[in-house]
Amino acid sequence: MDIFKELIKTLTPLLKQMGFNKKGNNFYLELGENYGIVNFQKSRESTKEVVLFTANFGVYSSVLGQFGYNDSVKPEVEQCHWQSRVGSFMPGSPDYWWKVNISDNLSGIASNVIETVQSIIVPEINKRLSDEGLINCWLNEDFAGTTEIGRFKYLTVLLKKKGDLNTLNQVVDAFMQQSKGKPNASRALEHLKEIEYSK
Amino acid sequence: MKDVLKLIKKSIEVVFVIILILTCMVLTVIPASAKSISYDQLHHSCTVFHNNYTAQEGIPTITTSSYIVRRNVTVPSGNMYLGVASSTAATEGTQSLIQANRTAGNLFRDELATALRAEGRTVNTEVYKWTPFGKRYMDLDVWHNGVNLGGIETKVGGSRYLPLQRLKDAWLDANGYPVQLVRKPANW
Repeated sequence: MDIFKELIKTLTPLLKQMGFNKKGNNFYLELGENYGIVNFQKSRESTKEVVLFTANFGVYSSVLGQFGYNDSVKPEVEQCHWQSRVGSFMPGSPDYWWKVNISDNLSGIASNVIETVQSIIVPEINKRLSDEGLINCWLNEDFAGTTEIGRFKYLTVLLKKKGDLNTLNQVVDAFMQQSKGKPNASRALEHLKEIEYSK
Repeated sequence: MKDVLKLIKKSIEVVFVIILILTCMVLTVIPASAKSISYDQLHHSCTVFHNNYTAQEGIPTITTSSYIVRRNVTVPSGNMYLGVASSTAATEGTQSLIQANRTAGNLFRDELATALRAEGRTVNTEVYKWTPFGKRYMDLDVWHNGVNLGGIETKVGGSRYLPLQRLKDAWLDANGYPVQLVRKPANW
């Protein structure tokens, strides 16, 4: 018996009830052309008897995708513009992996996973599933869910698209100030040319 | 008429003998040539790899185990059937070596993760990063204050840093995600 496959089978109807669509080990929530994605990843350390797995999740913006950032019709979690692993929203931010033994009751594990999806993953995705939500997250929250330059690039594209030029100018000024003399400064300048930014 | 039949019979015999000789030649010659080609190519590629590796990363010697893995896989011995048996045994040995290397690699990765967490970083293991050249598997993905700082590839012994990995890492680096290669020192 493949424990991981069985687990995914057990989780599928429960996640579908929550509005997710399934493709492989990925589950999708859709809002317009944006995706919230939950992915279950089996560890390479798993054996036939013991499976370790974790949950990665993220938000993919089609505006950013069409601009050329990880463009895909049905993206995978690694292509999300905002990404996280489930442990990042647990106390102490552990690298959290579920451990399942072949003798374990899968429905018990599945309900624990669903509880985590409901209490952590879905609220965090919903906060950011719209482009407005992503802008708010990147402007006001510490958890960027990407690199420093990633946040800058994505935020500036969304602000320009929205037409919020005041905030765009503030973001650009602050970023150029803090990245002076660092490799990100030249990356930012290159990006500003690409989006045809001018004050 | 009798002569004609005799001639046909004789011809059939001759053709049969020729086919038999050719079959024997094929069974004898092909394994021998396969052995010499695969071994030479293998030996050559190991040497080239060893030299490149030493030059690029300052590794003085390649580990015995990783060399044995490569050598065992493709050195057949004896006839074709013995060759198969030998490579089966080698595969089993290879698998256990790979497993041992993987365990050692995981231990080193976990040690490094613990050290980084002690410095206040959030560290995730076994993370896939997207690149246009395919996904890149990172041993460690390091975060600080909610910002993704970069990835770490941990290496034990003489395990290789492959060209495709380098290509993906270069792309990630150009996009603000630096990848560091950390090799476990021999006397760790």
